[in-house]
Amino acid sequence: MADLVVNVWRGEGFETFRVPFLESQTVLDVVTWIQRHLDPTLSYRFACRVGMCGSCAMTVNGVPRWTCRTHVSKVAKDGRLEIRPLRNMPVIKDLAVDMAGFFDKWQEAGGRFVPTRPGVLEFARVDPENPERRQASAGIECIGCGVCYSACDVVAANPDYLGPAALNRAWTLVNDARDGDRIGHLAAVADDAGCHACHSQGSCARHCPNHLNPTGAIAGLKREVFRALLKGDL
Amino acid sequence: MAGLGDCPAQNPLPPRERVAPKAPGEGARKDPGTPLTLPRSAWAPPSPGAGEGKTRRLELRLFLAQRLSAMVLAPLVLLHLGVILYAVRGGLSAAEILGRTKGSVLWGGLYGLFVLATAAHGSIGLRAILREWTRRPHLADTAALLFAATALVLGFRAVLVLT
Amino acid sequence: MRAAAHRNHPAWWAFLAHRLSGLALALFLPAHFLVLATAVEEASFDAFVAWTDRPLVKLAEAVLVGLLALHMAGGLRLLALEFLPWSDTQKTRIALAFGAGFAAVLLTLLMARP
Repeated sequence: MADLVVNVWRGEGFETFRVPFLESQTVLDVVTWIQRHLDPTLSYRFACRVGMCGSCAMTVNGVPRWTCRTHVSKVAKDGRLEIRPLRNMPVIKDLAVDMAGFFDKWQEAGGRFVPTRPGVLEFARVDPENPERRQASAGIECIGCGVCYSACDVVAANPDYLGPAALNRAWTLVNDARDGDRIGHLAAVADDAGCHACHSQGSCARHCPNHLNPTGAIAGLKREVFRALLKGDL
Repeated sequence: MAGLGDCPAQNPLPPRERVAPKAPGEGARKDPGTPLTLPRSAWAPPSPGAGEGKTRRLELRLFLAQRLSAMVLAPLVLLHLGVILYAVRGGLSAAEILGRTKGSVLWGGLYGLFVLATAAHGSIGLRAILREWTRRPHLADTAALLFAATALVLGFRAVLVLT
Repeated sequence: MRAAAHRNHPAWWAFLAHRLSGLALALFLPAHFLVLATAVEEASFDAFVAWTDRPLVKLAEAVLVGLLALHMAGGLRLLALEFLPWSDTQKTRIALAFGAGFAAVLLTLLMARP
């Protein structure tokens, strides 16, 4: 098997590396191999290597992916890989991006759980099968990798837009029976850069490595904001 | 010199207060306690739409106007498509169209509503496209208002001529 | 080219079709109003219709009708997406919207046959 030809973004352009092709190799393996054998100055970020931590996402052949769970054999085109940092976030160096703004928006979207009462030691009894809980459960497996945010063209056009991950988080709280500030969450996402900026392009849901559906979550927020407005709660 | 080894072994966290039920049978659930609903201002930055001189939640209002006008337009467009397909049979003629619409309050009313809804829908859509593709919000606002004015004037003129 | 690879899926193409058809319709609208009213006022409507009786103009007219149908069907899909509970049939709905557009083009061409 011929070597892989890997073009890696180095800040001012691409640098081409040749990496031996191995069976069951992931894109993260390729990047690590380059750093260990060819250029120790290559910067990138990873931690768990098993799809839990959400730190190794990069743009691979034009598509944002979690590199630790992406097999080279699945994405390489004619033995070529083009690896760039995630889109829509400032690049720190090479493949490492600054995710601070991305996570700040989780706060702006009201993504913080608001307890109803402090000091209650009893468990809240929540039926896992009720419709609201199912909506919340569908969205809570987000690992915060930034793939959806990087795939979103609305974020690219409007850097203030809260983005799919933060709005998905808000949607899980709106559906959480234990949360004490449902209207506060809706008010946060009804702002000018909130859920109504979404064009339902669906790239977030298309590329989410955990198969979450932020497009559906954002549509749900639009619906609940509308309902709250009709009721005069907002 | 403060190295890693000089770090205090433990953070001086205050001891966690545990609030236990006061008496058996009088569970914590019955004690509402102090609600810990922090005001938004305590943790969220001020809303970008809530600034002075700006219409509050302008984007939300435009979103709703866009959807409302779409709901009005959908049946009207369906009607219009039907009229087009009916009218083009054997070619268009002024006499045929005017014969249908002249003096008709119904056609005038429906197409008047059509003009209103398209002016709103088109201008909001144009504004959104220009904001994203030119990144010049003021240009987008001006163009949208111009479009709305043009569509309203020309549209009502056409409705008046035909009915 | 690869910069846009993340966009190659039905919902994104549906978005682009909705945006471009909307833009085309918005630009056509003032011209439509103007020509219609002017032609009727100056009693030159039938002369204008005679001018439009050439294959390319007829095709352009049919395409405009198709864009209107496409934009309406796509708009109904978006209203359902935003105001009704989520459905996993989005791809089917997108296909239906494109189908409505093509059907309108064909119908217009068929009906307008002399």
